[in-house]
Amino acid sequence: MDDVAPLPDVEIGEIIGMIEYLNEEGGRTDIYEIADDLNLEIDDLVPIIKAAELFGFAKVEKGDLILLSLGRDLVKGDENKRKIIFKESLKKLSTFRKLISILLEEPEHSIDKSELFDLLKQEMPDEEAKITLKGLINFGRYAELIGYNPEDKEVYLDKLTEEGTNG
Amino acid sequence: MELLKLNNIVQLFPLKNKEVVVLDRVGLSVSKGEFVALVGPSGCGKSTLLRIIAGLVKPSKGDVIFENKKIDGINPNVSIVFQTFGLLPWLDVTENIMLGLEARGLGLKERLRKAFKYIDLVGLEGFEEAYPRELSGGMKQRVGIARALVMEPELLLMDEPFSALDAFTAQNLREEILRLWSSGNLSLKSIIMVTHNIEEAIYLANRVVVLSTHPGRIIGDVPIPLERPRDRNSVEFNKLYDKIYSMVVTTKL
Amino acid sequence: MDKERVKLENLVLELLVLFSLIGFAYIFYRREAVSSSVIANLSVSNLPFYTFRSLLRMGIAYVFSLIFSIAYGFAAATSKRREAVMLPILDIFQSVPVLGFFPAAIFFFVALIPNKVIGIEAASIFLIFTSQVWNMAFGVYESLTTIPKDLKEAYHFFDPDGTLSFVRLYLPATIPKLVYNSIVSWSNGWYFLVACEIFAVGSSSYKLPGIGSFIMETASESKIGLTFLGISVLVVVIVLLDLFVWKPLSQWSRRFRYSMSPGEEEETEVWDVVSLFWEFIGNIFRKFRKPFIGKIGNPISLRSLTRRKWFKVFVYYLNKVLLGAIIIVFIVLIYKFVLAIPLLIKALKFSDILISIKAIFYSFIRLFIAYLISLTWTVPVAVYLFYHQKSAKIISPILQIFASIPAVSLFPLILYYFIRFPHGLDLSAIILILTGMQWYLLFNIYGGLKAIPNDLKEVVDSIGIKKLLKFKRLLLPASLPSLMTGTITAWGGGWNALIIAEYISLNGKTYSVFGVGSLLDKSLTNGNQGLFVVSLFLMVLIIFLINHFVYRPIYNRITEKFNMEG
Repeated sequence: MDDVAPLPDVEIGEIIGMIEYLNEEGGRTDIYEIADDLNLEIDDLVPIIKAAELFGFAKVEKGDLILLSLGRDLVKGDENKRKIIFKESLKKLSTFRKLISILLEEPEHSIDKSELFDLLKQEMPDEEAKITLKGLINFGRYAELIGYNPEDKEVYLDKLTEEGTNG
Repeated sequence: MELLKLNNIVQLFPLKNKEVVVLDRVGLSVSKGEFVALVGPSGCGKSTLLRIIAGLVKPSKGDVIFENKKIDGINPNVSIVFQTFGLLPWLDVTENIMLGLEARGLGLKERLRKAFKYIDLVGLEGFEEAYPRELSGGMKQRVGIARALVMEPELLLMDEPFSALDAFTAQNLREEILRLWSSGNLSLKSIIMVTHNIEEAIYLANRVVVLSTHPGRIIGDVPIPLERPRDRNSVEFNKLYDKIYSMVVTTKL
Repeated sequence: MDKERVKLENLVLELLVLFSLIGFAYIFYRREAVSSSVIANLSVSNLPFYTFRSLLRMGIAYVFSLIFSIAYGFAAATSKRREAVMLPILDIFQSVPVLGFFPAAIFFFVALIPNKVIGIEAASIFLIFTSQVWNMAFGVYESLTTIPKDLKEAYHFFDPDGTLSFVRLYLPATIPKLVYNSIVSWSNGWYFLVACEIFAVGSSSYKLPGIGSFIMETASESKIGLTFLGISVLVVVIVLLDLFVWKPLSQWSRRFRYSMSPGEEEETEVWDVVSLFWEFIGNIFRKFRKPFIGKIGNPISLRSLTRRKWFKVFVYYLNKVLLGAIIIVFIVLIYKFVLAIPLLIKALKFSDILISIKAIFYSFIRLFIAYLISLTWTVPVAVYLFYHQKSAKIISPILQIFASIPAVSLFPLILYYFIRFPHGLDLSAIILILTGMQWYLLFNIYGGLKAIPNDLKEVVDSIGIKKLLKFKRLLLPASLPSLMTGTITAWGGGWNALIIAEYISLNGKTYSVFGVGSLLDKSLTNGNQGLFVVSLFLMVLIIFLINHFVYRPIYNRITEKFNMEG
C-alpha cells in the first residue's frame, strides 16, 4: 500500500457534534475556549479537530477553529445528506481510496478483517493500525461506502459504492 | 389537550426499620406538544418518577392518568430511552430495534419494514447488522432511540439520555432529538426527559420542572419561551439558567 | 493490609486450636477407638467419633491441598515457561474423573507405608486430596494472573527485591478465589469421602471408621433408620461448617477483592451467634498465647526473616533442589512408562478396546440422559427462583443444603428403593449420576440469571416483552455462558459419579450395569489389568477430546457472543 495515512481516533458523532457546536458559536472560536467551555482536555480535542480538518469541515488558523462551507452544509443537512457529504469526503482520503481499490480487485469485493489489519500493520505502528482499522469500518459503514459483517468478520464494498465505481 | 396527568404520586422505599419517602404528592400535567424536562439533584426520585409514568414501577399511592384513562401496569403508548442504552448484546442493531415489535405480534416483514424506517431516521444505515459491542456510545444511544421510536409511542420518556456520552456526541444527539421532534415524521405527541444538566434542559425543553430532594417534591415549573435554534450565550438563556440553578441549589441545602 | 494479616493469622490459629481441642477431648474419651482401622460398631454412640474421624481426614487433606495449590498456582503464574507446562497438566487433572485412579493410589500407599492402618489412612487422605486440590490450584493461578498490572508495577517499584510481594501482594490476591474454591473443594471432598472410606481392591476390602463408611455399612445391612441418621449428621456437620467457617471466611475475603463483577456483590450475612462464638474462641486462644508472647519474640514475622541473607540463599537453593526433584520424578515416571509399554502392548487385546469403547458409549448414554433430566428440571426452577425473589430467599438455602449432601451417601438408599422396578438398576444408576450433575447446573443457571443487569430487565419490560419471548430473548441468552460453565462442571461430576453408580456392593451382593464405571471396577476385582488400563486410558482420552473439541469451542463462541460487555 502506498501513501496510506492513519485515521484519527474519533467517532462520527464527535465530529458532527463539534461542527454543530462551532456553527452555534458563529463559525469561529478559539480552540482553548472550546476546551474550557466544554471542560475538555486539549488532548481529547485535538484528534476531533484533526478529523474535522481531514474531512474538510473546518480548518485551524492562528489558534482559531473556522467552519468551512462543507461543514456548514453538514450542519444544515439531514441524516441522508450528511452521509453523502461524509461519503464524498472519505472518497478523497488516500486510505479509503486504497481500501476501495483493494476490495474491487477481490472476486467477492470483500476482505477478511484480520487480513486488512495485517496490510495496515505494514504501513504504520500496530496501535495506529488498530485505530485506523476501526475508523475504516466505522466511517465506511456510516457513509455506506463499505459494509462489515460481524458474523464472518468480513469487510465488503457497499452495493451502491460498487455501482458508483463501476459505472 | 392533556396527554398525561399524575395525581398525588407518593413513592415509599422501605428500609430496615423505617420508610423513606422518595416522592411526596407529586402532581403533574403534561399537554400534547410539550417537551418537559425534569431536573433536580441526584436522589430526588426523578428517575423513579419516570419509571412510574412508564408503568415499570407501581407507585405507593396516587394515579397515573394517560389520555383520561388510569394506567395499571406497562403503558403501551409510552417508550423509554435509557441512560445506559440497555441494548441486548446478543442481538444486532436491527434485532434490537425490532424486539418490541415482536412482542406486539407483528410479522417479520412488517417488523423489518418499520425497523428500517427508524434506522433511516436516526442515521444508523450501514450499521444494520452491527452488534452493540462494535458501536460507539453515540451509535448505541441512536439504537436506543430507534428502539423507543419504532413502537410509535405518543409519549417518549428519556432518562438522562446523554449523560453517558462525551460532550460532542451528546451535542450531536441533542440536535438529532430536536430534529426528530420538530420534523413531524413521528407519532410522538410529548417528551419527558430526566436530566441533571440544567443547560441541556433549557436548550431542549419547553418547560422545566424542578424537583427537590428528600422527599422529592415539585418546587418549580418554569416555561421556556425561547425560539429555536436557541443560543446558549444569549441573555435570556442565562437568566433562565440562573433562575433554575438557584432553585436546584436551594433544594440541596 | 497488616491488620488483615494479623486477622488471618488469628483465624487460622483459632481454627487449629479449636480442632485440636476437640481432637484431644476425643482422644482421651476413646483411646482405644482411635487406633482401630476398621469400622466395627454401628451403634449410635459411635457416630460422633466417626464424624470426627472423617472431619480429621478432610482437614488434613485440605491442609495439603492448600499448601500444594498455593505452591503450584504461584509457580505456574509467575513464569511463562513453567506456565506452559503446568497449566495443561492442571487442565487434564481437572477434567479427568479422579475416581478412576483410586485403585492405583491405594496400591501405592498401602505398599509404601509399612503400617497398614496409616497406609490406608494415607491412601484415603490422598484420594480426598485429589478431589479438592485441582480447583483450588486453578483458583490461585487465576487470581494471580488477574492482578491488575499497575498494582504489580507499583509493588515492584516499592519492593524491587520482591521480598515482600509474596506475603503482601500475591497471597492476599489469592484469598477471595481461594476461599470460594475451598467451599467447592470441601463439597467435592465430602462427595468423595463416602467413597474413600470404604473401598475394595482386588480381593481385599478396607473399611475405615468414618461417617461415610457408617452410612454405607448401615445401608448395606438394611438399617435404613441408622442410614438416615448418618446422613442427617453429615448434613448438620456440613451446615455448621458453612455457618461457622465458610460464611465468616467469605465475608472476610471480600475485602481482598480488586473489583466486583455484576451479580457477585451479594452480602453473605454472618449470624451474631457465629461472631460471638469466634470471639469466645479467640479469647481462650489469647489467654493461652499470653505467657509466650515476648519470650519467643515474633516468630511469624516473615519480613525480618526474608530480609536475612541466609534466607535468600536458602530460598535460592531450595528452588534449585525442588526443580531438580521435579525433573527427577518426571524422568522416573517417563522411564517407568517406557518400561511398561511392552508389557501394556502384550496385555493389550483388541477385544478389550472394543469392550471399552462399547462400555464408554453405554455410560455416555446414561450421562446424557441424566444431563437432559437435570436440564429439564433446573431451568424452570432457576427461572422460577429468578421471578420470585422472596421465595428464593427461603428456597435457595434449602437447595444449597440438598446440594451439599454427598450424593454417594444416597446411593445405597436409592438402590434400595429402585431395585424393585423393571430396569431398576439402570434407573438407579441414572439417578445416582443425576445427583452428581444437577446442582452444578441449577446454581450456575440461577447465578447467571441473577447477574442480568437491571437496565436490560427494564428495557425488556418497558417494551412489553413477556413470558416465552422474554425467556427466549433475555433470560436464555443472558444465562447461556453460565449454563455452559455449569454443563462442563456437571459432566465432570457426572463422569466421577458414574464410576460409583454403575457398580455397587450391597448386602454382600454386587449390583452392576454395563458401562465404563463397572468395567473399571470389575476388571480390577478380577485382576484383569490390561482391560483396566485400556478402559481407563480410553475414558480419559475421550473426556479430554470432548473437552477440547466440543466444550471449549462452544464455550468460547458463547462467551464471545453472549457476554454482557456489550
